[in-house]
Amino acid sequence: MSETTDRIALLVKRGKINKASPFPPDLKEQDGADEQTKAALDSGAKPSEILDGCMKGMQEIGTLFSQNKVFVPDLLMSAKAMSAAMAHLKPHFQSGEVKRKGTFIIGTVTGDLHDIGKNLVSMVVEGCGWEIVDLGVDVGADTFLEAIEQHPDCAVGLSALLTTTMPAMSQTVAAIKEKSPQTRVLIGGAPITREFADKIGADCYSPDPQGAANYLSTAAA
Amino acid sequence: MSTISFSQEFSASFEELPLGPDRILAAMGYPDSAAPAPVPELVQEALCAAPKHCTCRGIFQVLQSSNVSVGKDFIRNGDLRFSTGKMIAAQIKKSETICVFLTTIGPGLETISRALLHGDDPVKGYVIDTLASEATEAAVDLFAGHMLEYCAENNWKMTNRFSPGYCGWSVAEQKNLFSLFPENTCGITLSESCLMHPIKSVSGIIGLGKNVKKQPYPCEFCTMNNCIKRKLKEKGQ
Ligand code: B1M
Repeated sequence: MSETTDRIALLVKRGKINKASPFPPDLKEQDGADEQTKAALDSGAKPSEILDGCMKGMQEIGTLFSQNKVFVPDLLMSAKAMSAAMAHLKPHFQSGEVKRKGTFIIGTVTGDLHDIGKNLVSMVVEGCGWEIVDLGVDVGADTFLEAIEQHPDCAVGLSALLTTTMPAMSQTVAAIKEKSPQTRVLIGGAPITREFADKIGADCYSPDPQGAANYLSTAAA
Repeated sequence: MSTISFSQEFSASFEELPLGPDRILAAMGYPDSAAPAPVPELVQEALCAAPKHCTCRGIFQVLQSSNVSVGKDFIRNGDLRFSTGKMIAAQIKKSETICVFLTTIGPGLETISRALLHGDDPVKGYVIDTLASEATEAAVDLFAGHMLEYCAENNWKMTNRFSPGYCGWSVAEQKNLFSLFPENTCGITLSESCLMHPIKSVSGIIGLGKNVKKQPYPCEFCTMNNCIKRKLKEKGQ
């Protein structure tokens, strides 16, 4: 890992967005992920070094979150710092100079409007190098199928927070597996269990965002 | 024939809720004063702004005791059966009747937090969301406290409150619960998938009687292994 990568990783992990942001207090008035990324790219750093930094920072904060050592606000602050860095990488993604690991389509299933958990999963998975297509909440199987048609090599994540919407999750997994058996489907949410995932034919259950990101990294490798 | 022997609507302002910064920080997971900046500041800010956007309303209806019976894993109100599961039925068993309730803090805070969560300040949005969730729980407890006055007149005490979706009682049974209230009571509606609107709402029952008592809330009976409250308890917070 280069020095640039390590610095970006630290700023992402600590949630230091930009110089104007007074948080965290011990990094006050120092450059944040925004300025550091711009400066690094201007002085010839490879965009992949920045991406590696974002991935490392998000991986670290995601792991601490899984261990209950940090909480949702910490994760959200890191995600914001990551976005500040990623904004500078946009043209490099478009030119193909840096590549994402793949596309991750995510949504909360029909009848369910919970989205904080789903959004956290999106952020961590994005931070691990994936392009995110967020279909939102109350998403029917057809909408997932249309999105898969547009991104045939994608992986799909489904979230549900109510036991009453778990049947919709089951139907969505069945519809995806019927039309596109090779598409990997991950599921999660407070009432979901590994047993339920096995029963409905999902490829992975993760209780937290980092578990989802780790599964995707392994599956994509 | 009405099966309700007593019905009372309550309302309260945000200021009446027993809700301080520590409770909100704890709900996010932070142990005593360990939340990093800017979280405690955002909690204070949210507590100051909340009163303008929050109207707490609730309805508590006591069912006619002659209509209520409790089985091993269900409670019956005439023809209406609540399949509560064994754990809740055991807690309600000694009750003379039950009180069914709905409570909400309205859509105000939820609208603000959603806009922030999807906009440029998700941390603030999440803080307001957590505050709103805790305010909802606090409103139920405040109104349930008011019901103690009614209970005292009958020499009754109260059990814990139990909600569909907890302790083995299916969330789908909210449909039965809602059948006991006029439509749109307190502005609360129930969707086909049993989601209440406004989101920051709670439904449930409480047992009333001379020989009932409140028990410490038992996480062990709940099957939700991934619940944040359980994780925090296990961590000793
Ligand atoms: C694709 O891969 C993946 C991988 C991981 C994935 C994933 C996808 N999606 C999520 N994850 C995972 O990663 C995220 C980060 O770790 C996590 O996402 P979460 O979305 O779970 O976590 C969020 C970041 C924070 N978590 C939350 O915001 C929810 C927290 C808990 C405690 C909770 C709260 C706060 C509330 N609630 Co209630 N509530 C509970 C919750 C228990 C829990 N989750 O521990 C849950 C969701 N509630 C439940 C219930 C039953 C209810 N609640 C109700 C009410 C409330 C409050 C108003 C008091 C409040 C706010 C609710 C809200 N929606 O805004 C009622 C419904 C309200 C309504 N509008 O219909 C009511 C129905 C109770 C009642 N009868 O009144 C349960 C639903 C399960 C079920 N039985 O159906 C519940 C799981 C609690 C439980 N232990 O049983 C993981 O699940």
